[in-house]
Amino acid sequence: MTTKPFSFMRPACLGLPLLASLALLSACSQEPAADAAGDVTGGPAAANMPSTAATSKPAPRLPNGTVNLGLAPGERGFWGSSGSIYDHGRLSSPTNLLIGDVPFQPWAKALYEFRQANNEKDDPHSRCLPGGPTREIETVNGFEILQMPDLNRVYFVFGGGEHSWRVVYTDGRPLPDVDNPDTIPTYLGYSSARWEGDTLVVESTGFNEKMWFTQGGLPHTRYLHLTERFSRPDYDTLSYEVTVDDPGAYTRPWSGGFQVKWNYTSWDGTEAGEIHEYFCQDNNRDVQHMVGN
Amino acid sequence: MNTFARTAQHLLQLLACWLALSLPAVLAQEGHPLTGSWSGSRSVDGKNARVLLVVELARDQTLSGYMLEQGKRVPLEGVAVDPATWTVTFSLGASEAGPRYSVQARFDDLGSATSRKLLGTWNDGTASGDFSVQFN
Repeated sequence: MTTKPFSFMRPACLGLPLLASLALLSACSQEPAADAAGDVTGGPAAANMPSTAATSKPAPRLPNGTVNLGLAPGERGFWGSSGSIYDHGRLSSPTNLLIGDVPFQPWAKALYEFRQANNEKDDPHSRCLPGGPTREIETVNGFEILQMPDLNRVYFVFGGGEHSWRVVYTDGRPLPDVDNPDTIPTYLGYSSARWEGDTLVVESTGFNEKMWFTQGGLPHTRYLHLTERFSRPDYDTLSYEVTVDDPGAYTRPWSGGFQVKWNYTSWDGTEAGEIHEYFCQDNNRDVQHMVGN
Repeated sequence: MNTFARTAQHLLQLLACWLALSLPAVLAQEGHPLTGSWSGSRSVDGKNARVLLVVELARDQTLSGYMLEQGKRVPLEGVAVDPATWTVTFSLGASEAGPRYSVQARFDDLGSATSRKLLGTWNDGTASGDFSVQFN
């Protein structure tokens, strides 16, 4: 198997912020009409959550025997609502740290508390900018996982926020050195994964500091290294665990997780079981309501 | 000016406006609130001297950087942020040629990635004045 390093092409990376800027300009120029950024678990969107099955069947598998973390042939649905990587809310892991026990660096704790005290008004996601990997999974409107073993890739397709996608490589390529000036930091970082039994273990580095990597505004720095573990204990459940290693913002690595539930119907309740088209950039009515205190 | 030249001029003006509008979004950052580059001025004898401030955070929480002023690139010393008050202090290295002074400032619009400022004063022991920079 040929293992390729990540390529860091400055022109392409320059295009990302320019595209984000275009999106922002576009959002600012729209007439208000639609929903907000749609990223508040348990908020108004949660009241319209589609149905999930009462009992579950075993997780599906690909022809090569690997657990299928996504849609099985002949089935319908997508991954829906999730919990948080801290505290013990609905779908959150009971072993999660309480927010008061998260090992913040002093400045990071103060900044998190500042963001909370201001009702997260400065959240870039509300301005249709991408979140980090954890944040995209936490975002309502659902997501799909597409495994392509022939291509050595796993795609995460996100229905919420800015409606983006994430590429996770499974060819064993090394992660970039964040101290190398040629490493261009990105919103979703660079992700390389391996299978440990039925668990997909994804390592990611190379994040920029333009996003909030979780809901609630946990701070991070460019040193952020995420180790995510995806497994599917049954058909209707995706287990998500993440270890956050960022000496810039936290005094030690720490872990948290949550479950994500499979949705069989679309958000409007129809049987299609498909993620509807939603673009934060179109008629974003969120920003002007983010006034803080 | 012919029609083609006028059209080209309008296109260039539109491009310049778009670049100016897009700059804050391009450079926004949400990590440590002091890290990154800042530009602004300090008032000296009633005039504003342009300054460019660059700060980096190391894994061990050390903050370092430099100030560009009067064509000089002067390292910072004693860079500190007090998160209890969101105040910032630092000095320009005494061992370097160039301006030497200390700055005490506070964050303004701390949470914003596009309009965050450092507002305060500079002091060189004999004179002092306003210091103001905005996050780039």
